Amino acid sequence: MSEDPNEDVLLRKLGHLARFDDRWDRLAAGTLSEEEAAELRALAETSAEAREAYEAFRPLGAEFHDAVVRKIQESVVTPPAKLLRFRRRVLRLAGWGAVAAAAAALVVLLRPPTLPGYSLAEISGGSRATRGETTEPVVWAPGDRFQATLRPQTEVKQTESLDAQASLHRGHELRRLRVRTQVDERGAVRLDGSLDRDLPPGDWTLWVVVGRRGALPDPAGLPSTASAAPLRARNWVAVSLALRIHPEPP
Amino acid sequence: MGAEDTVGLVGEALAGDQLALTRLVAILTPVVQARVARTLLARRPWLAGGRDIRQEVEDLTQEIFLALFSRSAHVLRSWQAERGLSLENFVGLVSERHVVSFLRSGKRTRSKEDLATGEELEATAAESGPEEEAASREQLQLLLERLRQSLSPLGRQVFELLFVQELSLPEAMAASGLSADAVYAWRSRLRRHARELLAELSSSSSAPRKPEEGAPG
Repeated sequence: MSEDPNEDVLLRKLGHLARFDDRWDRLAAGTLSEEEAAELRALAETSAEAREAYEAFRPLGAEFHDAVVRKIQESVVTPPAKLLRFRRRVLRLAGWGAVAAAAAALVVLLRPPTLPGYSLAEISGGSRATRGETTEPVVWAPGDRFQATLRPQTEVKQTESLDAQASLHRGHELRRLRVRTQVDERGAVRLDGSLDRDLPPGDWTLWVVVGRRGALPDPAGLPSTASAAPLRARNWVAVSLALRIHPEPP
Repeated sequence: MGAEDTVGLVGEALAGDQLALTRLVAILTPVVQARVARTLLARRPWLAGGRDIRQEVEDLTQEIFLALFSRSAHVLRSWQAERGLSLENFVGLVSERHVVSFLRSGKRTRSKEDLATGEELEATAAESGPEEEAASREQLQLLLERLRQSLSPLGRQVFELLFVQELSLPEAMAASGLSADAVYAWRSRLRRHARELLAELSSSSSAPRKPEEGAPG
C-alpha cells in the first residue's frame, strides 16, 4: 500500500487489539483449554510472526518465578535485626520501663531458634524411590502410600517442637494429606502417608513442610506450581516436587 | 482474588513475607509477560533486528519486577485499590510504559540505574495517570466491537485481511477477490468510519448509541 501508514494508526491499533485477543493472556497464564491451546499451536505454524508471538506469550515457568523472587530479595536491603538495638536501649532504661523491656527481651530469647534450610533427601511411593534432586515428575497412582524424608542443612535445636505436613496442589485444587511424622535427634523428618483413592490423574505439585508445631503455614497459601528453591520462613521450610498421577491400574 | 485479598497480599510481600512475595510474583508474572509481549509485538520494527523476542520478554519482565520493588517498592506502593484500578491493570500499565521507554531509548541493554530508579515511570505517570490509560484501552476495545458490529461481511473481511492479518495489497487482493482500487477504497472507508466511531464514543461514552447511518456496507 503506497499511502502514508501513519494515516492508519487507529486501524492498526484496532488490528493489533483484535489479533492478540484474551486467549494469548491465558496462554501466558497457562490456563488455556486444550482446544484453545491447539488453536494457538496451529496458528504458530502458519507464519514466522505467529511463531514469534507464540514464543513471546509461552508461559515463563516456575524457574523464572524463582529467579525473579530471588532477585527481588537480593535487591531489597534487609534492615539490621531489631534485637540488637533493643538490647542497647534496655541498658539506658530504668524502673518499670526496664522491667517491661527485660520481659520483652526474655520472650524474644525464649523463642525457638530459626530453622535451618531443609532439602528433600528421599521420597518413595508406589514402586519407586527417588533420592536427592530430580527434574522428572515422580509418577504415582491414586491410593499409593508414600514416604518422604527431609534433612536439615545444619543441626536443629529443639527438635521436639518440630512437626510436618504435606499437601497436593493443582491450579485452585488443594488436597491436604494425612501423614505420620517421625523426627530424629538431628532434626531429620520422615513423613508416611497415602494419596487419596479418588485423586484425579494428572500433574500435581506436592508440598512437604517442616516447621515448629503451631507455626506451620496454611497450605492454601502455597503456590500451585513446584519451586526449584525451598520456601523459607523463620519457623518453617517448604519443599516441593512435581508429581504425575497416573490412573489406578485395573 | 478480591481487592481486599490483593491489598493484604501486597502488604505481606512488602513486609518481607517470602510466601506472599512468591504468590505475588506468580500472580503478576503472566500479567507482566502478556503486556510486555503485546507492547513489543505492536512495535516490532523498533526492536533491533536479530534480537530474540523470547529473551527480550524474559529480560523485560524481570526488569519490571525489579523496578516495581526498587527504592523501597515506591512504584508498587503507589498503587491504591480505592482509586478503582486493579493491581493487575496497574502493573500492566507500568509494564507497558517500561517497554515503550526501553524501545525509545534504543539501548541494547539497560543500565542498573535505569532499572532501579523507575523515574521514567514517575515522569510518564505525571503526564497521564494509569486510570486514564486504562479508560483509553477500554475505549479502544469498545471501538473495535462497534466497528465489527457496524461493518458488512465484506468490510469485516477487508479489515481482518489488512489490519488483523496485516496482509500486503497483493495478498489482500488474492484473498478477497477485490481489485487494487477496491481495496484502496475500502481502506479509506474503514479509516473514516473508525474515526467517526471514535469521535462518537469520545463525545458521549455513556449516551445510548444511535443507529449507524451511512456506515460502510
